[in-house]
Formats: sequence, structure tokens, C-alpha cells
Amino acid sequence: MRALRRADFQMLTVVLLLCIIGAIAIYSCTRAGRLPTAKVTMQIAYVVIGLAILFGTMMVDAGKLRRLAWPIYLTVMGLLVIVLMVGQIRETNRWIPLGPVHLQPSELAKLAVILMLGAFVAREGDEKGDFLFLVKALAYVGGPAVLILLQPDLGTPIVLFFIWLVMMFVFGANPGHLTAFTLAGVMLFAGAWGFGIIRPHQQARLSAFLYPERDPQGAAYHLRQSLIAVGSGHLWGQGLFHGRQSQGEFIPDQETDFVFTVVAEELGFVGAASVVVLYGLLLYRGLAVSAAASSPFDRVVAAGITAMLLIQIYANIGMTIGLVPVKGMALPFLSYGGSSLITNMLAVGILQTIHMRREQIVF
Amino acid sequence: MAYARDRTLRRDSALHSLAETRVRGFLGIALAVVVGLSLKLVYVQVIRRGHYLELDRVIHRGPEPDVPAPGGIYARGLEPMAVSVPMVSVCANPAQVAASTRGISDTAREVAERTGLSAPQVREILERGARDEARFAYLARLLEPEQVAPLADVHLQGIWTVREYMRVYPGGRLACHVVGRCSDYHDPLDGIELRWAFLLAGKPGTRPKNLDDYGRSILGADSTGVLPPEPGRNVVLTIDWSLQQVVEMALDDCMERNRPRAATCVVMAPNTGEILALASRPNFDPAGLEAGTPDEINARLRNLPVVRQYEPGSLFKVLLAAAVLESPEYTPGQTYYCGGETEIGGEPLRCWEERGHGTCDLTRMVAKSCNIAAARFALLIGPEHYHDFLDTLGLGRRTGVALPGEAAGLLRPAGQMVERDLANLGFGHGVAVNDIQMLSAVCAVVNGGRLMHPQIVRAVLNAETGDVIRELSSLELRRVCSEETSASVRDMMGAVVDHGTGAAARIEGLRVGGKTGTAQKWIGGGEGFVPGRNILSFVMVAPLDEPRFAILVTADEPAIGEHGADVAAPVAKAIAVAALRQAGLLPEQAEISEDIGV
Repeated sequence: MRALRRADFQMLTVVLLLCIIGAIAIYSCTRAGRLPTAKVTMQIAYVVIGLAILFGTMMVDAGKLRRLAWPIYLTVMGLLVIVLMVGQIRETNRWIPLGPVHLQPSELAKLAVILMLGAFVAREGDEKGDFLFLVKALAYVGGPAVLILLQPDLGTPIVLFFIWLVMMFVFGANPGHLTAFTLAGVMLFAGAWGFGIIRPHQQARLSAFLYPERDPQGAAYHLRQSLIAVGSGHLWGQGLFHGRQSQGEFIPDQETDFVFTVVAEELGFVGAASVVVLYGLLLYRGLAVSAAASSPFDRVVAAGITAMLLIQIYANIGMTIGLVPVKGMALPFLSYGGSSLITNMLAVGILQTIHMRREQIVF
Repeated sequence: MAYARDRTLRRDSALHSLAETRVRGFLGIALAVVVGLSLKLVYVQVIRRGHYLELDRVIHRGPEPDVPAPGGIYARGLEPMAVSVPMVSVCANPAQVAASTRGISDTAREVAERTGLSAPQVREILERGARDEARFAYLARLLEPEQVAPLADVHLQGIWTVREYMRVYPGGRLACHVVGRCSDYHDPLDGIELRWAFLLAGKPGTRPKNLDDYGRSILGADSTGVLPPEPGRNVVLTIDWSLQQVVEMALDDCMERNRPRAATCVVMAPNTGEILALASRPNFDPAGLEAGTPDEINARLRNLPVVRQYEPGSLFKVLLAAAVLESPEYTPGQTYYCGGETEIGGEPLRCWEERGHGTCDLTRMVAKSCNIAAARFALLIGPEHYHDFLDTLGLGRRTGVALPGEAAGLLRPAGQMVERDLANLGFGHGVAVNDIQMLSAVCAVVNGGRLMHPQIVRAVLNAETGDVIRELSSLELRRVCSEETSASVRDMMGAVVDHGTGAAARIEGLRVGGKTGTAQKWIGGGEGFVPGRNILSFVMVAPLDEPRFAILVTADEPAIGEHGADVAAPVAKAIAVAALRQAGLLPEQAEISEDIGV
């Protein structure tokens, strides 16, 4: 327990604050329903479970995590196969029903890939300048990415690719090689678009993002309603529980992917910017952990986790304010939903355990 | 170096610092993301805030149930010409009535008892509606509020009342083409009603619609911010009620006496451009159109002085005279000989007077309305000068009078006129005008040379307080000729009445001016000009020295009468006498002789 004193309390405080803001926002936009407190109660339960898992993870030595990489990776792969075989929700296979809750294995897949890449880097790090090294590393991403694409889900594979990119970059890979891979990825996407592999709803979302005025009732509806909520928040917001968009359920999935709009509408720019600053602090602490890490595994895993948080934050907030196309992606610690919350708690737990053993080798 | 003891890292200390640099690089990206998100938030929430607040308003504001009271239309002296009266309509949701415990027949009986409507009729409307599963039907529209009041004492499922305004026109047909009309649902259809609807209608109020998508009100949500309906404005016209009545009667007389297909009259104040009276025949009753074929109804609705363009004929010689006086080619005393027939541009040109007018100077050309002299004068001043002068008078384009459907008229560009076109233009052919254009132009050449904007609305009032919100003052557009030219043209118009074609308009003891016009109509369908199918007209200014009234009367194809002098001039005179008398400008001598009908 002495080790706990070495934990990064700033980071823990930020996470706790975000969870509280999230719970309030979820309550605000779901309280008009038949069961006003149902979702917020669930979310609080997830937060409690998540925190328990966070502290539990802190007890695990980072060295053990490295050895757990393979088992975790294989388990997640198994879940990804199972999810394709069980029932559909909204025409996709993303959730595994487990009694009252649904497990979303693609959330866990992100962490599994991070750990796997960390372990790979620690094992074969000598070849980091090698192009082939990058290809091998990418292969670990490829398995889960393909399974997730089949659900179908385009967002998570892009997240996985970004995580791979950041981890390889931080580890010291040749920036030229990384650029080449990125360009290849973009061309692959363009080709997929051209050959109709990108689903119509995904194409529609992209065009809605580029030309929101074309179809205000259809694909652009989400973005438009979201922007109205954020924009009408102005500087100080319309007041907690007084947002007309949030209270009226004008924005689909507001408690999950669009929870940020509740904060922006009801608490205004001050509230929204505060949330962004909190995330900035979280990312900064994550990278401080990475910079101070004592081994390549610790360093790249910390960087990977930070990258995972970063892209989720950017993509989620970005979509609500028209910066990136609308894409189903949760906002860490704020969005309603257990899988995302627990995965992110687990991630913070790993950052903490890496942080706690940062100076072990000094003595 | 804290990491010195780590063997792996000691080996690669260079690489280690590289990794640290890379983490910082990534930190830069993270920082850029945070800054980028914040900037976009500033843009959406602070800079573009108004845009989204407006969208928010659109989504979250519903109409305020109370409809705004429409404004009224008033004549110059605030005599009401169109006003709205609050009435009550009885509405029903037939499907709901059918499903109610009371049922259709019981409800119909109750409604009939309390409003005096016929029970079988109400019942029939409800039954038909219920059969069609209709959710809305009017049981009766626009009833007196007292008649419906007893309905409030009983709760009838699926029956309610709404306030609606009924438009009434106290003047009846008086100036109906100016005032225009509304549909049964108070939608503006024509005239001032249509053109000024943006002020007359008022704005519906709004209230915040703080309902969630189950239709329940949002707990604790802001329910203030109700915007009450804004009542419409009152519009005060330049129309003089009593003069308009005179004009209407004079035109009715003319319709009876000469039986033209159509007739118009416009009275304008030359110094201000105000339209004091405007009438058109056939006309209509704004309260309800009489039955007729579509063509007949259409003919009644047309506001001819504004929407019709026609060749003005000899009226135009007044404008020609002004153009000649302003031309450098003209030397005073210039004369032309009219022998009844000549040849211009290789074609024969016959004057309407077969014997010819002999030697004509400019005054005699106007007074006797000599076509050959007019043609010669037009050729003298040349196409550029003539065209430019007419263009300055505003011919060939809309005057912008605030009434709907104005015809633009036609003025041929100088470069497109051959010799014969120019000659014809001298006596008002090969050009098209509407009455407002023509009268404005005449006003400009007799009022000292100032072209005034033709004005129909005088002021806009706050309907509740009667305060003037906006006064529309008269607007001088430009100077078109000199004072001297104007005085000379007035003299010439005086000569028309004194010893020319317009003797029928003479008023004892007061000098007035005029000009007759008898223009052949161009009939479509290849018929061209047909003898006997003419628009007869007379333009009159009174008093001549300081014109206060300019009157234009036209009659289209009268069954009786062949010249403007005998059909239109007496009408104009009757109107002038009444206008002058009303203004206290008629000398005693004239009073007596006019009263005994000399």
C-alpha cells in the first residue's frame, strides 16, 4: 500500500472530476424519460466498478502486465469472434449481451493491442529502424482490426492504426516509414470508397460533414442539432437542466456519443472549455508518465494509452462541433456506457502502475 | 542520469534521449488538439452564437395562439376603407366528436342550441368529417362573438372556437382597385392589401416551446420570453375620399352614357405627385365577387390605370410640345403646313382633319391636335433629343407606384427609330404608357418642370395609438424642363380648352388646360389598327396658372362618342369642377353657371 503514495494524484483527480461531470450530464439529458434516474444510476455503478478496477490494476506490477499481453490479446480476439456470431443491435455486431449489460469487445481490443505492441517492442526493439519491424508490429493490429471491420465498425480500426502510429513514433521508428504507411492507409481508404466497401451510411456521414446544408433532415440532422445545442450554449450556457436541446431529446444518443453537447449547451463555453482543459491535463499527465518511464515497454504503452485517449477525445468532441465527421465513438469518462468506461479506467490504472515504478531502477 | 544503471538503456543512451524527444513531439500534437478543439468551441459558442441561437429559436418557439389584429387602410382624411373586425369561428375535430361520450348528434344539437346554427347542418359536417376521419372542420366561420358566447358555458369534446378577423370595406366599391381585396381567410390578394401586406398583417407572436418530444413541458424550463403578436399598421392613402366619390360617380355616368368597354380616371396633385383619386371600370365589390365568366371577373379585377399599357395618341402632343421647346433645333415661330395629307418616310400620312389645319405653329399644333405638324416637329428635334426627353419623363419603365402589377410601358430606343417611327411618336403612336406614367409626365411639364414620384401611401400609423410611425413625403425625382417651357406648355393646354379641341372642358371664370386624345388601338391577332376601335382620353389641369389638380380620363371603345373631346373631356370637367369647389378655388360666376348646368 505504500506504493499508493507514489500514484499520480493529479491524474486521478482529473478522472474523478470528468466522471462526476459525465454523471451530471447523463442525468440531465435522460431525466425526461420514464425512469429519470435509471441511466445515471447505472453510470454511477460503472464508475464505482471502474474505480475498483483502476485501483486493482495499480496493484499489478507493470512487468506482469507485459507477460499478460498475450493471454489478454488472445482473449479479446476470441471475444471479437464471438461478437460476430451473436445478435445484432442497430444492424451491427458490436455488443455481446451479458445479462442486463452488453459488453463491447472492441473497446477492450484497444488496450489489448497496446499491451501487445508494448511487449513486441520490448522483445524485438533492436530492429526498430527496420521497415519489416513496423510491418510485424502492424500485423498485431491487423487481426483485431479486420474482425472489428466486419462488425462493421470503421472508427475503431482507425483508432488502432493511430495508436500503432504513435507507439512506433515514440519508440523511435523512422518518420519517413511512418509517413509512407499513413499515405498507404489513406489510399486504401480512398480505394475502399471507390469500390463501395465503405458503407453507404458512412459515406453519407462524411458528405453530411462536408456539406451539412444538403440534407438537414437526414444524415446532417445529427450534426446540425448538435451544433445548435453547442452554439446556443454561448458563454455561460442555458443553465444546468435548462438546455432546450438536451431536455427535449433533440439529439439522438446524447447520453452516449453526444454527451459533450449537454455540457456545452447547459454550461456554455466555460463548461465546455473546462472539460477540454481537463482532458488536456489528463493527456499531459499521460505523456509525463511516458517520458519518465523506465523501460521501452512502459514508455510505449503509456504513449499508446495516451494516444488512445487523445483520438477518442478529439474524434468525439470534434464531431459534436463539426470538426470531424460524425462517428460512433465514446467520450472517455463522460459518455454513458460500461465497456468504454471500464476500458478507460483500466487504461488509467496501467498508466498509474507505470508511473508508480518509474524510479525503481534508480536504486 | 537517473537511468544510468539500466544496462539496456546505457547501451542506447542516444536512443533514449531520442525517445524523450519523440514523447515531446507527441505532446505537441496533443496540445494542438486541445487548442484546436478550444478554438472551434470559441467559434461555435461565441462568434457564431447568433446563428445557432436563431436556429434554436426556430426549433423551440411555437406560434402564440393569439393572431395579430391586422391594420386598416384609410383615405387621406382617415376615412376607413378597409378594416378588420374580430369574429369567432367554430371548429371541430369530427373524429374526436364521434369518439366522445356525447356522440355526434348530441354534440350537434348542443352546438346548434347555443349558437343558433342549424343542427342538421352541423350534424352533417360532423358526420362527413368523421367518415373521412378528419381531424378538423369548420362548423361556422366568422360569427359575432356574442352569438358564440354561450358555447363557453359547456365543455364539448372536440369542439372549440378560434378568433379570426373579418375584413370589411366600408367604402364598398369605392376605390376598390386601389384598396384591393382579401380572401375569406384574410390573405391579401390585390391592391394596397397585397402590396402593403408586410405592414398591414402584423407579426404573429411566439412563445418558447419548452416541450420534450413526448409533449410534456420541460421541468423548470424557462417559460418567460413570450413575444406577444404585433398588431398590423394602419396605412393612410393619398386618396381623397370625397374626390374619389366624385370620380366614381363621373365614371359611372360615363359608362352609362357612352357605354365603353372600360374607363379609367386618375387625379393627381401636380406639385406633390400624390394620387388623389383613382378609379377603373369595370369594377368589383371587395366584400364578394359577383358571378361571371373568368374573363369577366378578370376584367373587373384589373386595375387598368396601373396594369394597362396603351398608345396614348394625341395626349402625347403635350409632351412633344415640351420636348420641342427644350430643343436647340427649335426657333420660336417655327411653323408647318398641314393640308390634310402628306408623305413621310415614303408613306402617306393623313391628318384626322381631312381639310387640314393650315399653317400650324407649336401652339396651334397642340390646340388643334394636328398630326402632320406634330410629325414635322418630331422630325425637327430628332430621335435622340426626343427620346432622351421622354426617357427623363420616366416613360418606358415603371414609375414604382406602390400598387401591384404596374405595366412598364414601351419606349423605342432612338437608334431603332426610322423616320416614320419618329413622326408617329410625335402624335403618340409607337409608344406605350400606363395612366400613371402619362399623368406623372404631364404633371412634370405643367408644374414647373419637376418630375414627382407618383405617391399612393401618405403615412403609416400605429394602429393602437394612431401615432404616425412614418410619414411619406413627396419625392421630386428630377427636373425635366425649365419653368419657361412649363409655362408655355400650360398656355398651349389653355388654348386647347379656349379655342381648340377641348372646348367641352371649359369652366366659366377660371382658366383651365387640357388635351384631347383619340388613339387607335392595336388589336392583336394580326388585325392591327381597326377603325373605330379607339381609346379616347382627356388630360386636364386646373387651375391653369397654378395647377392643383391633374386629371386623366380614358374610355375604351365607347359605343357612343368618337373623340376624347366629347367622351372624356366632359367627365374630366365634372371632376375638375367638384375638385375646385371642394378646394374653394371655383369663382362665384362659375359656381352659378355650373350649378344650372350651362
